[in-house]
Amino acid sequence: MIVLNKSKALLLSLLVACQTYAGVTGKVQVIDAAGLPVPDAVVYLEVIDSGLASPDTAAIVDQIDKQFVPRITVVQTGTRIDFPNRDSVSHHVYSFANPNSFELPLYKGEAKPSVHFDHAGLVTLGCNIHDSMLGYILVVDSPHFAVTDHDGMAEIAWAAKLTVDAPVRVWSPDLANGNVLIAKVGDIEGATGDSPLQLAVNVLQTGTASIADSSLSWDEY
Amino acid sequence: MQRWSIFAVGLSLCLSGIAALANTTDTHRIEGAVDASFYASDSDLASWLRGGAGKLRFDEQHDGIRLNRVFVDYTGRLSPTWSGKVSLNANNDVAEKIDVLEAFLEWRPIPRSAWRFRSRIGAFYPRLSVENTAAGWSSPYALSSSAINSWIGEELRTIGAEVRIVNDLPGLKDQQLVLEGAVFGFNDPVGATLTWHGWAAHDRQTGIFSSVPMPTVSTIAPWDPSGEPIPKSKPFKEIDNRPGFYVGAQWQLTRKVLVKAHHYDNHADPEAKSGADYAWRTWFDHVAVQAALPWKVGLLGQWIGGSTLMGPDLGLWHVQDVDFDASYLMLTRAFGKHRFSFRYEWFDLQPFNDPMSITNQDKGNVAMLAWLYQVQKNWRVGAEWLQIRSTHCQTDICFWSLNGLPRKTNESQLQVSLRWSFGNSGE
Repeated sequence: MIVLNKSKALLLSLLVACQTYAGVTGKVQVIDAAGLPVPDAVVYLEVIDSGLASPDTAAIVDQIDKQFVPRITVVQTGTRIDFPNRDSVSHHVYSFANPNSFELPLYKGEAKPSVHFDHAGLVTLGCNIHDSMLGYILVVDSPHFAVTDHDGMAEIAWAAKLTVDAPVRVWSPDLANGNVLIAKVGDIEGATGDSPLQLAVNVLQTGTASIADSSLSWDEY
Repeated sequence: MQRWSIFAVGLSLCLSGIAALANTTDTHRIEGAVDASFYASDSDLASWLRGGAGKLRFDEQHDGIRLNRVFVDYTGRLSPTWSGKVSLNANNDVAEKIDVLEAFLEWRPIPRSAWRFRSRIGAFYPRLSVENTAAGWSSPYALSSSAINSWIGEELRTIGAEVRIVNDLPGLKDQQLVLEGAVFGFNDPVGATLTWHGWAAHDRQTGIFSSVPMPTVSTIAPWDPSGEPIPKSKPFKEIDNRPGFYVGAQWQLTRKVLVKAHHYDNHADPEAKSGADYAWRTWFDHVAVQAALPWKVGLLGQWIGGSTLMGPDLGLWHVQDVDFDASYLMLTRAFGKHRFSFRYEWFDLQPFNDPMSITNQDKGNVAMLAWLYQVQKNWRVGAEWLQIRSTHCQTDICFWSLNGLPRKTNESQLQVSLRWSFGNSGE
């Protein structure tokens, strides 16, 4: 009996090892038609039957200086997101987009509840108190994703069992045409930091991140 | 110091104590300040506040060290979608009294679509100014308001209901559109102080239960200096039971550029009267801009153009009938806790009912340079220099010069200010 348990244990740990994503990595750079890097773009691998995120998966979307930080977040379906509101003022976050619509009062000095996102789709965040606040959460049926940095770079890791034909998609609020199918997993496999695979997309306009200008008041005026 | 000043300062201390205790939440927000200044005025004219023809609030006979104003803004969150605001103010000059600048309820339902609906009901400033964005409708850029906003603070308020809808324009990154409209009353005499004392440059606001002192000599009309006591105008009166309205639209490229335009018409019956107060039919168009320029410089500007008329209809015009316009541009830049702002203005007030150009006009410029320094959280010092030039005659002879006043006037003022602010806003 003990021997059988040991082999079961061994088999289980092998399976667990296959489930970790240290298997394959690929580095990509998202660029626009002019060859300039596109920051804050979500790159993710489409996976069939990926299931929900494990129950304790959590992410954080903070509120600092009347902005959502990070402005763009990507999570797997089933993830819990905390909104800690480390700003000096209260906020009232909401999204009206079905099926992930919600509203969340985040008042200073009161408890800050979290929200589970159980459906795939785009969640556009607003604040009912500060009309200029805008953020995005992309909920995807995949555990393999990343957001590009200010150089347009992102590194994604996935299990070796993912087929080379699995689609690679890019999304950003600046894209001209939504969730584009851009490449296949096999294309990006093995690409490294020195020579990332470049993924060209059509942007509406080159992204200039909104820098808070402390000179002027912008709320409600 | 007058008794009320001691009371007002004491009240502020109490409120700030209460505010400090309630510091952990912002269900109840208090923001207020006590402003004191040293004024050095250079003007040959007595202030309009004291019956003269001058544009400054404190003329040469009344400058020096003064308590300027005390104000408190209270905002309370009544529910997740309802809030209320009361703004109290006391001026320390000819009329000393604690009064209400604004008192209103605001409803902001949670949006169910890309269109966000907001509304206010009560007494409040319309969203015209881009300068007066701090508590107590004060300016974070300078000590005085532009001529346009000095006038709005004196005798213009929305007492009624306003609705606005806000949308992020689909397919256009970071662009937002706002449409708003309001129906109001209780502002029939608006236009009286503008016509009587012309454009002015100060920070004095009139509470909704107060009257505005008026000069004995009118900037525009032929004079009758019969020695009567300084009359007052009560701007927030409903005289003709006819509502006024305004509509506006705003476009913003988030935190970069903002442009808004309004059309206002109080739709008053210029022949209606209540006691000594006439209703003045006042309408205007107004445009405001705000832009974040390179090198962290901010640009602000407003333009207003319209007319106001009062009294019996004499056929071609009414007894009082003036056209007005004014504009300004301001550049501002913060360097850490210091801020420098420069504002240049153009103003004009012309009688419509005078094709012979014998009555006066008020046409001129204002230059303003201000420095503000937030020494620490509750203390701000500042200094501002104001220069106002005006031409009062359209031709060589006009009533202004016939009454011994110079055709062209030049007034300047240096103001050094100390502000102690209190509150729990945490911003």
